[in-house]
Amino acid sequence: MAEPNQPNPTPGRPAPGTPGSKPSGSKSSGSAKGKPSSGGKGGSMPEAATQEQVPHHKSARQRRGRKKGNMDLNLTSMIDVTFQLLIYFIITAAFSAGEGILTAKFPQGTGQSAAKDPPKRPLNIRLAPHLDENGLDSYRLDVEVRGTPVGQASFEDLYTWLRSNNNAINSAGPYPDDNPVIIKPQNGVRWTYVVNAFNAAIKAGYKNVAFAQAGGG
Amino acid sequence: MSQVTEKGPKSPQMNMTPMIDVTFQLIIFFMLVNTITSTEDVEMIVPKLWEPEIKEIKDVEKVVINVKLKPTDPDAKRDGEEAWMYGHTVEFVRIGLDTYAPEDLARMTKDLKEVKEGRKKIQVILRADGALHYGELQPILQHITQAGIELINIVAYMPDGGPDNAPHL
Repeated sequence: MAEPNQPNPTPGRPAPGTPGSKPSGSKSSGSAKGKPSSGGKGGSMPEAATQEQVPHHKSARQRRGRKKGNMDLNLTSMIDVTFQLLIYFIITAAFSAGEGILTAKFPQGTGQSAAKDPPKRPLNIRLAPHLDENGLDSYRLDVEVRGTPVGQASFEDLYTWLRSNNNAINSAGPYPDDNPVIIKPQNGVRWTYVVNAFNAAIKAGYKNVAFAQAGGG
Repeated sequence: MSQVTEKGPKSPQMNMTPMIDVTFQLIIFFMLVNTITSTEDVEMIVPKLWEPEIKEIKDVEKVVINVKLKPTDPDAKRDGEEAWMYGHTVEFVRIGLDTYAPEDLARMTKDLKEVKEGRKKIQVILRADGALHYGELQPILQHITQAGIELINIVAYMPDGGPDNAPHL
């Protein structure tokens, strides 16, 4: 007799030991004698089929009624975590605009590392604050040549002027490329314009470009 | 052979493998390109240059001096022409984790000296907001000079790298 609390593993098929099923020990004697149930000389197909339908032994798993099938890994949790990570990285990704550097000297005479030799014929680039026609902050630019200011409309003009006067590029230019170029901004000039003037001088081929202390204005 | 169980046909399942593959690829991509926001990065608009002659910032030993602009109106949106109306004074100077007020620059000089001691190859990078007035920035430059620093690298936008709303020139 089957145990009262044991479930029937195969619905529609009598459980072993229940009325209507063959006694489980009926075929065990054949196996015990070493006779193969199928494939052997003495084996017959109907007998083998009967043995398959009514196995004499079932594992505990089969008895518990697990159905056959592929074993699948539950990926739901992993996908959840993965998407959380993805969203985090997308949100925190900072595609900041690229930045570069310009190497510069410091203002003269302001510290222990200031330039030692005062230049004889420095090119002074003067920058003053200015309001444009729209009332916005702008700049006024000129190059001081032997005390005379030569006005420059833009940084492009400044670059052109400096380049045409650079002896290393233009043989008619009076200034060698190691001639000191000093940028002299006034107090109210934006840092952007100061760096632009510096950039124009470097671009024009001058190697000795420095900042001066801020002037009044 | 059809997959038919004793309970009936098997329920259909979506193949998640390609999606997981792509997702992991995306995660790895974002992990690599993501610049972890460090305390060294202070939000600002650095100078945008006309045809800049600038070099890339190499991955060398460096000390970054950030000079932050003090906004006249903290709630103002800084874009377009308003960028110029935003302010022109210094709010603070930040080097690594240390923040210095404009009136506390002597301490900055002392710390910079300590940083520079024994590290001659260290690069000093000045990352200042483009809208600052030179008169506001110059005391900071003086204090950096007093720390024994002769050369400095000024940060500007790379070509085509600046924001569209960068200041007009």
